[in-house]
Amino acid sequence: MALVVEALSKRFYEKSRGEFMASDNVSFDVRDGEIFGLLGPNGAGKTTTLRVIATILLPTSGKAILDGIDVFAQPDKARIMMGFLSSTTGLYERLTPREILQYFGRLCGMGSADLEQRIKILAATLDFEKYLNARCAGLSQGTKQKVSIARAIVHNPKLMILDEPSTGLDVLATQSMHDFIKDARKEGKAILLSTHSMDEAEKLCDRIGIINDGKILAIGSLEELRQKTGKTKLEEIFVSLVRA
Amino acid sequence: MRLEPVKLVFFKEFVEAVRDYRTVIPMVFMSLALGPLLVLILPKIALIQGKAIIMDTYRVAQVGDSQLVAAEVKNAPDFKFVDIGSMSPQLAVDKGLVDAAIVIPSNFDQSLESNFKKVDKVDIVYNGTRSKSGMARLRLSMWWDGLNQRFLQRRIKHAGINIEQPPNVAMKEISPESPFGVTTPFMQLMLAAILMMMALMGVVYPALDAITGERERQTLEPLLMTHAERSELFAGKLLTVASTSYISVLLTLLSFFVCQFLQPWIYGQHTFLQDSFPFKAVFPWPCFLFTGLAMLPLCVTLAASALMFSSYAKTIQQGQGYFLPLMLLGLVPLLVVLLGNVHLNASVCAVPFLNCIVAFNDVLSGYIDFFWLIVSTLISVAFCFLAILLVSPQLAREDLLFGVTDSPARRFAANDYRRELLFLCALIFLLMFYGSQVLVLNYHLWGVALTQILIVLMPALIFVRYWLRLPLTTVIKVSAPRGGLATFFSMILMVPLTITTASACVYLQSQLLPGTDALNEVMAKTLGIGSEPLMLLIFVVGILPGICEEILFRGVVLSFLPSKYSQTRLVIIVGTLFGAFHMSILRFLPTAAMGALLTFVRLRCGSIWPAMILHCLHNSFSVVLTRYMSSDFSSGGAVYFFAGGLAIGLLGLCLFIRATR
Amino acid sequence: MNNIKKALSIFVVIFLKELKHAFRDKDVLIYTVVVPAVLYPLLLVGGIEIFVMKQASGSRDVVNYAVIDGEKPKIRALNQLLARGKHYKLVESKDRLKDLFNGRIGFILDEVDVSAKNPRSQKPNGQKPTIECSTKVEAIVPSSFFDINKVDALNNELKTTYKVLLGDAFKKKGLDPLALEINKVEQKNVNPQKKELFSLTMALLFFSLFNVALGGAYPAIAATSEEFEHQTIETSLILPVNRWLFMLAKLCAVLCLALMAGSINLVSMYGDSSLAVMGAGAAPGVEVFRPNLSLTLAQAPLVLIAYFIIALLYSAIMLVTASFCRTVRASQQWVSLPMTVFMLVPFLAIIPQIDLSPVTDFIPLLNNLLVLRSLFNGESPNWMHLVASLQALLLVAIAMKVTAVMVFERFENKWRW
Repeated sequence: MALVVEALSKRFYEKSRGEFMASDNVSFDVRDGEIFGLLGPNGAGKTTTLRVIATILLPTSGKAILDGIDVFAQPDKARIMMGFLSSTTGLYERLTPREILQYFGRLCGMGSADLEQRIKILAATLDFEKYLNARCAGLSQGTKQKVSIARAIVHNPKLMILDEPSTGLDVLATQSMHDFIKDARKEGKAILLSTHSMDEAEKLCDRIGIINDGKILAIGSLEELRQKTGKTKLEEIFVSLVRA
Repeated sequence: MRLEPVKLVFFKEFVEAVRDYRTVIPMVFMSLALGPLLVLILPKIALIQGKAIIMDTYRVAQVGDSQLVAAEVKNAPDFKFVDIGSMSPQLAVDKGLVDAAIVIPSNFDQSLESNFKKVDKVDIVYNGTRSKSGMARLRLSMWWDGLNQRFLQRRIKHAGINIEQPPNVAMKEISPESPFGVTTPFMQLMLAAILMMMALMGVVYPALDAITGERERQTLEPLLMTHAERSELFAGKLLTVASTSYISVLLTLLSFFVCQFLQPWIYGQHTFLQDSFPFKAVFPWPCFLFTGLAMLPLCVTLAASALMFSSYAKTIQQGQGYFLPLMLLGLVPLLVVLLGNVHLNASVCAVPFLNCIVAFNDVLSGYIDFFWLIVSTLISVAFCFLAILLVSPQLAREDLLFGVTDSPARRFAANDYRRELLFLCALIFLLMFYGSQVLVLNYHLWGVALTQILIVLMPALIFVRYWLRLPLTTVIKVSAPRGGLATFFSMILMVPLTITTASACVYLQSQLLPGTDALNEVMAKTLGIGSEPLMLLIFVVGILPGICEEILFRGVVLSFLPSKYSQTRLVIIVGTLFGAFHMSILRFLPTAAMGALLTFVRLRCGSIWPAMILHCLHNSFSVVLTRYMSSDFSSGGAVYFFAGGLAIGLLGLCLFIRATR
Repeated sequence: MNNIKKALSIFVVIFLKELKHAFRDKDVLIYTVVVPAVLYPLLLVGGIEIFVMKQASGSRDVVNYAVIDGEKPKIRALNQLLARGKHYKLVESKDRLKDLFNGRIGFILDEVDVSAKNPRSQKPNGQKPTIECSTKVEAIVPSSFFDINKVDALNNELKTTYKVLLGDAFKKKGLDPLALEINKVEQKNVNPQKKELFSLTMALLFFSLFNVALGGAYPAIAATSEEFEHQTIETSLILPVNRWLFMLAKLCAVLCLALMAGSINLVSMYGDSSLAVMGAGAAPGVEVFRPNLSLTLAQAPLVLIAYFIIALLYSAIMLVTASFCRTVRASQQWVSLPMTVFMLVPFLAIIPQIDLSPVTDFIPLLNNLLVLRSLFNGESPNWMHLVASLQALLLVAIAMKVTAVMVFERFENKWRW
């Protein structure tokens, strides 16, 4: 079991809304060699949950164990094993993708030879080789997203946390992204991603956690969810769970 | 903290900054343009203006017949005397027919020639709205002064007195010799003003961008996910910001250095070589190099401070607001240079910014003391390390990164009223500064009383009762103290301790800082300590502050600091606030110490009464002592007084600690 | 009429949105209002104390001094005079300069030869100027503000001692010492309200103009470069709004914020100077800090209009500068260039020799500052003031046009690539 999340909660406060639970008692697990998808509409709490697990936000309560390590108690150790792709690309406009990857790779403690190799592989797999030495300011949204993903996993982490990885990608790019994620699964990585696209969830995820208003409504593979709700299409499954 | 990540962050940020041509160009341009502007162009304009002032002629009218004056008038080359006929001088000046007029009384010649009669006064009429008229007035009065000296000398000679008039002493400023060479006073002034400004400008926006900018562009998040520690990230950014500032400074220095060679061309060899040429720019190259070296600690300290501010700012706009005070710091070197007699010594070295500023000023003006320079550099480096350690956790703050905050209800439940307290402190500070000073200066003792009631007590009560809506008695802790009567008794015993400590502070200060006596006298006179009735003094200066200040500080402020703070931290915070409240650099230390002690008392016994009693007694006895005892500390009796007071006081302290176990 | 009403309502909508956007943080109020209000008092606290202390200590001490060659005539005379008073003491010193720099002696007296060419003595027909030879006495001091005061104090002491000596001598001869006072002069100002060529309030006014620039810098950047960076310009492009009106509304928002910053600073500084003067009491030298506001009711509106026009010009210049930059970071650096100009030009406007004349009336920023100064000093408005103000307004209009081009049309060009 790679990642186990137990009763994770995060409370926010906004003047207009008052207090509310962005993540409310969320529990799920992600196994090695599995793609787990958090599926829900915008504002459901997916990004918050992922950020908490990635140690960027502090949880209000709950636990997360990654390969036996308590993520919140030992964040430094946990970060070595995680890679997080945030929902915003956040690239440095005046640097090239190669420089960005080298920077983050070395900050994560990789040696130069390994790093060069890894950059080559990532660029080839994600198909941005010809942009490796162009400044990020001029890249298209899709290429930026690919570079972002590469940056998130340049240090080859065990657990990949991807927040809406297909944002801004066209059909072809999305396809190659999906292939990339599936290859990672073959290598035995645990992949936790979030999405609001039913299509993507159906095609990509081994197990799906349906989340709405901060709460997990159901967890299971597509088959299990079909059995639970009696519906076939994921949209119908989702709607019936929310309305219940 | 490892070196590798720091280097990585530094190189990456530096490359990124340099590639931003649009940002780099104006910075470089400004650094290089200021030298020629200030050393070559502005003085040229000033010289031309100066010449014009000397060559200017003013139209002046003489009213009143005086042959003596008329005779002198012909020898005044900068005046052109105009005859205004029978027009009144006021009208002539107002209309602009003349720039100024001199009105001589009718009996002037007679009284002067009699040699010993008193002479009536002379009027000079001018028009204040016209600058030329004002200048004419000055010139006229200077000329008249000169005339009068001659008339006076005649009278004196006539009286047979042979005392010679003393010569006017001119001023010649010099700087000490230094192995690196010394710059001229003009260069010192220019460099002092400009270097600090350039260092600041090279620091402010890059620092804002490095942290706040990254927060806004959302590139900080991935950085936080790497293995680099927060302190390493912060240190790398600090190096980058310090470098941009340092490069800007070096370029400025270079441009000043080069301009000194151009001066003879612009001003003409002859003018330049004159000793009295006020704008002479001399900048020996060893001095140039050494100044460059001396500016490094300043750039680093500025970078650390700027990044500190930037870490607390959520948006760039907010950060700019916080930077305003920092920018005003740019004026400090100018002040230091103008004051002139501030040099590196133990107390100056200890203050982080000030030591760098004074260091580079000293290097420029030739007061080089290697020992203190090294100490000052080490202290600056220590300050930076401290900044890195204390501030780097701010990088990961959720409320600044994502706007994640706690609801007020939860904050209050954790007794965290810091935001509200900050507002209260700012309000009381403003009221004290404006209101209290006006009240005390105008109403003296009654002003003190009004201050205590209106500015100290009322805001505290309103704050608790009407803003936070909390029960007053619980907040102010009016319950019985732990230890009961013994506690109260120990307070009485502790009074000698506080008084002897305060007196010792006053004594030490008067030895180390000249002029404290003058200040104390002024204060005593304002409060009327020598003159007002004793009972009134004891009530207004002794008891009233004791009650009101205790309610504000040990009652309200202390109760609203987060309960998770340790006792030491609380004592230090409240003590410092209490010291700062009295708005006096001289009295800061003794009052802060007293505040700390009172906070300790209140925390230890859980009630406000003992602290109040100690405060009231201390103030009252101080008033009595000031009134009736001389401040002659050198007598033998004083030593016994001190020793006795200390002994009793320490006894009281021990009793207190035991009673409140 | 309807068109104008419509335009006005659109203007108000955009203007209010810009202001709301600027105040989106309630923290904005803290550092736009609270920080300036609290900052100057903070700086002043202690400043007054130190000032009073220095003055007090200065006047009581005995100043040691040394001489180079006590045999020279003028030096000897000075020594005799100073020995009469209690404030100056001649001391021997092996290394005079060293003692001077470490503070043991206050100054060194020296009598030097002097040959000065008086430019005035140049005869009109081009003859050679006369050269006057004499000696003068110099006091050698380390360069500093307080040491300049020392020399003044020395001269005053000499004059006082001399006067006392003269008075005694006169009395001995049975003469009235009042006979010595023939140089009583009274200066009468035809316009008593304007006593000073240079007044503190004027300087405060100019300094507050600089704060206007500071306060308007970030809003100007936010209105242009930030919109580029965040790519919100696009949405404005497709609005059915006259682009010039759009920029005008932005300009007014920037002006509003700038004026707010400037006035708060002005009020705070004015209050603080008055307070400082009150607090320092009768300490010598404090009168310089007393601000004199003697504006009549008739003058005040004119001064305010002139101030307003300058603030408008500042805002427009910063807006146009910022519009050239596509990122906030770059525009922050570029805006500092006009800010430096705004800082330096008022110094020129303060020099008494530079007055409003047909020549200076056409120099862009200087003319308006001179107009402000002359209106502040009580001059009645004339054609030169009008020309300067119209020129400023023309510059503002041009700046707005350029900004509109930079913001909208260049953006479109970029998009077409």
